[in-house]
Amino acid sequence: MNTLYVVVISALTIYVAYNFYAKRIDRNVIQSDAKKATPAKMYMDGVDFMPTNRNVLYGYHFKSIAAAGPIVGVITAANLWGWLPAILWLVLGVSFIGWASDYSAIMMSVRNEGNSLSAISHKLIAPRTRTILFVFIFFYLLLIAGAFVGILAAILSARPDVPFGILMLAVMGLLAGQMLYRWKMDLIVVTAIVVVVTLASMILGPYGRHTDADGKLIQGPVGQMIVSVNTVFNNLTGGKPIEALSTVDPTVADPRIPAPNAEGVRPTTATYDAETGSIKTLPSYLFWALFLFVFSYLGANLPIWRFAQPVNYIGFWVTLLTIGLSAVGAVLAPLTGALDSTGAAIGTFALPAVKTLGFGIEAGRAWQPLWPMLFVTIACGAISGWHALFGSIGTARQLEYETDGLPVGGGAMFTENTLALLSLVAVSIAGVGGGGGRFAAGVGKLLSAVFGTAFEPFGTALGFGAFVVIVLTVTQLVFRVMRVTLTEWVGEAVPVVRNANVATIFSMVLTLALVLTGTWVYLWQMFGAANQLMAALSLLVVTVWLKSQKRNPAYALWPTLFMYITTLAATGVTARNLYVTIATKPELGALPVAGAWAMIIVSILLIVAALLIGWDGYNAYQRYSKGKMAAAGAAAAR
Amino acid sequence: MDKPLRIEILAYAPTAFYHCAHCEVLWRETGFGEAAHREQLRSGLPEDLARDYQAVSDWVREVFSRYKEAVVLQVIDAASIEGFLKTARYGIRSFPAVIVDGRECFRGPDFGAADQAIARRLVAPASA
Repeated sequence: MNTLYVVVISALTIYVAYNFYAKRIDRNVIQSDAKKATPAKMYMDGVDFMPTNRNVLYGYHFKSIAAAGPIVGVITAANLWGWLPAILWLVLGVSFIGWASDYSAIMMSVRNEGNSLSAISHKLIAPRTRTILFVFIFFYLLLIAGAFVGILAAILSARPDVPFGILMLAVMGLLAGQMLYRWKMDLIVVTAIVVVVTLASMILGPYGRHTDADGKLIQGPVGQMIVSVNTVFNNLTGGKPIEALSTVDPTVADPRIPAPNAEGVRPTTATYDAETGSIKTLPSYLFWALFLFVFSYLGANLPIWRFAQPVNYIGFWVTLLTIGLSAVGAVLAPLTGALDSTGAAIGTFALPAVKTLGFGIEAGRAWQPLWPMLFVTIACGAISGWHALFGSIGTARQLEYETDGLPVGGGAMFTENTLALLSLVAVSIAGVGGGGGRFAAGVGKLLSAVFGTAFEPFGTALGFGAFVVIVLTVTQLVFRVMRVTLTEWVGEAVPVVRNANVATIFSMVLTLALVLTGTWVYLWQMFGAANQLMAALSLLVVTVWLKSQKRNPAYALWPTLFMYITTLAATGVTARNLYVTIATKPELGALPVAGAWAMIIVSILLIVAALLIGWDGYNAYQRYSKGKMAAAGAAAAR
Repeated sequence: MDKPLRIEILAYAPTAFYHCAHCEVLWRETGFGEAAHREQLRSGLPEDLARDYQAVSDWVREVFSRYKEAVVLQVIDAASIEGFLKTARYGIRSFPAVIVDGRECFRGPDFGAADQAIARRLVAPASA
């Protein structure tokens, strides 16, 4: 398999799914009508309701790119099961489930005058659902924050070529906010300055790095500066890890665990004991976690125009350029026969198509069966994802014509899918490395197919930079939403939480507690399960709505059932893995054991919440089915 | 009916961040999303730019109520990729700016010239 085949096969599949399935549903089930007035036209106020051209709206809908989902999930899945199951789920998932979910959500809102569906949902599903959903969503945010901070802190502490670029992103973000919104400087000039400086800072990370005569890696000026910072903090404990924070990861997905060497053996490093499997927490890891909290604190508490918006604006340019040029590299590499720095062909997949299906179960070991785990490991890209689209208004209130719903909602989902596919290409050609490292290595190779072999280390640094930017821009927003939510919901009972600083710090302390347990991979799978459960519940609302409108709900019903059952099963498997690999092994330390038990409890809560909501949804569906039959009977009697 | 006149307004617009479309449905149902978006929109712009945006919004409403289906209005956030490209294409140096029919570009908070250009290109309804 090579990169060009993936591009061609995926493009064809998506073309067929969009034109022959999605359009058919749009035409026959939803029956979108260009002549029907949309809420944007009916209630146009120039602020909230605003008819917007579908091309612009599509851009909004995918403006901030997706978060870590299409990258981290794909990397983890490709490592566990191989690239073939990952690509099949990505392409089939988006074709039959992903687009339907996003498109339907928009159309349902459009058909309800762009208003909150509260009244409808209240009718469709029992009132208690709302309370359950609130608790569920708060856990979901906590899981995202925990997983993302864990991943990023590991990368920043392990890669001296990455942090400088991220530090400069923060500086440029603050500067851009001041220059654009306060000094009202020229947009083109400001964009050129902040984007070029941020990109250059990311690319400069490995500048001057070389190997000396003894084979020792010598950092360049930027890398050496970061190494010095790490050393200062690590010297606080005499260079030793903090024993109380040691943890384990039976799935070896923690970025602090080194990739296997040529013999397939993971070496012992400063952060990993190969013999015991213990992952060590150095003070420098805590320092970079703290750095991430400070970054996120700015994004969560400063006015949006001061930090969050400019950082996202710069981040979008960085991501767009990195991903766009990597896509060019993916097409060029097989055509030009480009070779990487080791002389291997760049366009050829190094990862096996299928590593294992994982159905065999071993006592006391983590179990990763393809079903259901693949479908929660890869969430975004196939279905769902934090698009973090930004604009002044919500999509459903902006649609100029009903017929724009499919290209905007469905089209954006297909676009996110291409990001996931590109991530898959990048990790599959890299062959070795773990987590974000494999993605970055793949991006480095793809960029070297465009700019030449000498660019590979700089391309890899840019790959890391783009990855961190994608994840971090979302992380800061997660904290912002968490603090607003805490203030809104707990503020009355606990007045101190009304203070924005207190609410943010409280959210961060909770997150830190999750990160320090070190089992981020479980957090990730829990996040995947929670995310997919949210998708299933949303599809459930769509299904009941379609039923209430006397339309055929099949295109939403079957995905609902698949996602619902799969997610419940995956949550159960994750809880089981936590139980047998960590919770029942006190010798691993108090922290991992406590963390595992906390996650098991969260799993159980998620399952109970999902069952209650499912039951309410089933009853609502039945009500509308019987209502329809009763109405038909009454009509026949007349 | 003739093709409606396209009017694009480039301005610094308040920003709110959204989750994926289907998750937003659930967020809204819990009352979770509204508070978060409201808070972001409130702090989306400094006061002076927020006033500018309010003026843009009032003008947009006025134009729409005057010409209704004869116009299609788009507000584009200047600090976005779309905004950047439009800014570069039309050589805009200050905001708000109004682009009428992709041909005429008017800069600054006085919409008088843009009003005249729109009126020139449209036959105003009898009630106007």
